Amino acid sequence: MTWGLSAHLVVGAGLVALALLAFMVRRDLRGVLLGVMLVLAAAVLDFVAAGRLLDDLAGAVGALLVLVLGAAQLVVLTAIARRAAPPDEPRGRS
Amino acid sequence: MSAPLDLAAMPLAGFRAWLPEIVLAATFLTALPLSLLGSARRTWLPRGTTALGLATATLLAARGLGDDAAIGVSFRLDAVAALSRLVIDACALLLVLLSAADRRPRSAAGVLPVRAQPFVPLHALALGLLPQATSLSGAVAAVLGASLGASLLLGLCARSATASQAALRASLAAGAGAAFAVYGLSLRYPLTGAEALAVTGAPAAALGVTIAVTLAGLLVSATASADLWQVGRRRPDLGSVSALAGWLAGPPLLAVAALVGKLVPPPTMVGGAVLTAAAATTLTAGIIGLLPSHSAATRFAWAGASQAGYLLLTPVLSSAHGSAIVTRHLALLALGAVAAWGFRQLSAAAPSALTRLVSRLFLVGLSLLPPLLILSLRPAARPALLAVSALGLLGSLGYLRLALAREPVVEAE
Repeated sequence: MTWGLSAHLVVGAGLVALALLAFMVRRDLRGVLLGVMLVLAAAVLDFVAAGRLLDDLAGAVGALLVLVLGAAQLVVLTAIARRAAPPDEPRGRS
Repeated sequence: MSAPLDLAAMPLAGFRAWLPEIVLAATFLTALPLSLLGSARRTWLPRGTTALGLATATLLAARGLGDDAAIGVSFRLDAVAALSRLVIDACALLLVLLSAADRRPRSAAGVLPVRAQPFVPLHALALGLLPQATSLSGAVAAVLGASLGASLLLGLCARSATASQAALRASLAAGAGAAFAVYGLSLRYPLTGAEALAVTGAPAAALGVTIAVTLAGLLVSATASADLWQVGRRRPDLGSVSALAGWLAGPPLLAVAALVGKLVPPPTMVGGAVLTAAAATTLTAGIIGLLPSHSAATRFAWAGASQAGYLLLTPVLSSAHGSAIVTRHLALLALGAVAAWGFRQLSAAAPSALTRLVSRLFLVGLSLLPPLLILSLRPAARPALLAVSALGLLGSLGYLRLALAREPVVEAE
């Protein structure tokens, strides 16, 4: 394992730690969505870094899949959130 | 007369093996515009298209039970994957048929709306790919696809703000679980230097971390249910999920179990003990959540979540016989869950002695699955595994309690 790859993995782990912090500190929709985005970003970073350093296209394919499907997941979550309002509050607020 | 087309001789080997997936994708692409553009009086068109596509895929999957084919290094259809795919497609067909039999108004809670029908084959497609994944990119696509499909169905089936809140919480849990599972998969790539899921030459401690992260994410994603989150203690059952609850409780466990068998290499003594303890914890957590539950839907959700502990036993058993037993258990759970909850919802909509009886028979059947698994394991399993498996007996009490309950399924507001 080269120094460059280790650094990328550490940064990825740092992003996941920030995501866990977001889950715990901000227990609302924004906090959870932010956490999910950070974890997916860490996965993309790992795929891209490993693919680049191993000189393998599989890393780019994995990163692309995570980006596309992860973005679709976040769009769907946001759409559900727009329809979900607390029972005592008017709709439209997330 | 020209010779018939010989599919087996086609350059793309295994094309026939993936016909069910092609049919599911075609069903989604055909039913989606029909559901969006059709009128209120022609709901039979998208419903019929979806049902026909799922029936065709199920028949093709049954025909392909003996196939063994691969697409490059990404997906491989072996015996376990073929059986899992067949059961998943059959469950999806059952979901659509039970929903079609529900004659309540479209605005009623628990009805699978027409606009959600095309997403059932899409979700079935993603779930069916999970057992077939043999590479990291294949597993990533299947995990995120399954999570996306579940979120779409939950979001489209929620008819009120309250139901949407519960659907949002379940979708967030499923999405977060899928994200962590994908992160765990991404860590394997630099460790092993290869895209294949099978692991060789990786440091054991680091590999253990990636496996733990991936398993935790898969467990959370596969067991997320809208009925685990009641919005306000005094509110009745959400009712926004019915046969859909069974669909989200059963088939994902089956699909994930087959993937877990590929992800986790035969464990060492310490690794086996850790996995056994994790299985015991999962089974116990489901039982703890089940006991104080005050609604039928929540009890059902926790009973289903507790069964997820069994899929952690698949790598511990590390034998073809043991894996086959767990796969059979989860396959029967998947079919039973969709049938039991679907017939219960039908009996609530139009009270009928027959639908009530059928629903109760399926729930009693679900409660008998853990004892059947334990009896099947007994010749091969160690005492610790038998003890852990016995924890599932307590979870089966949840199904038995549901079978004997007289409470109706309360509609959501």
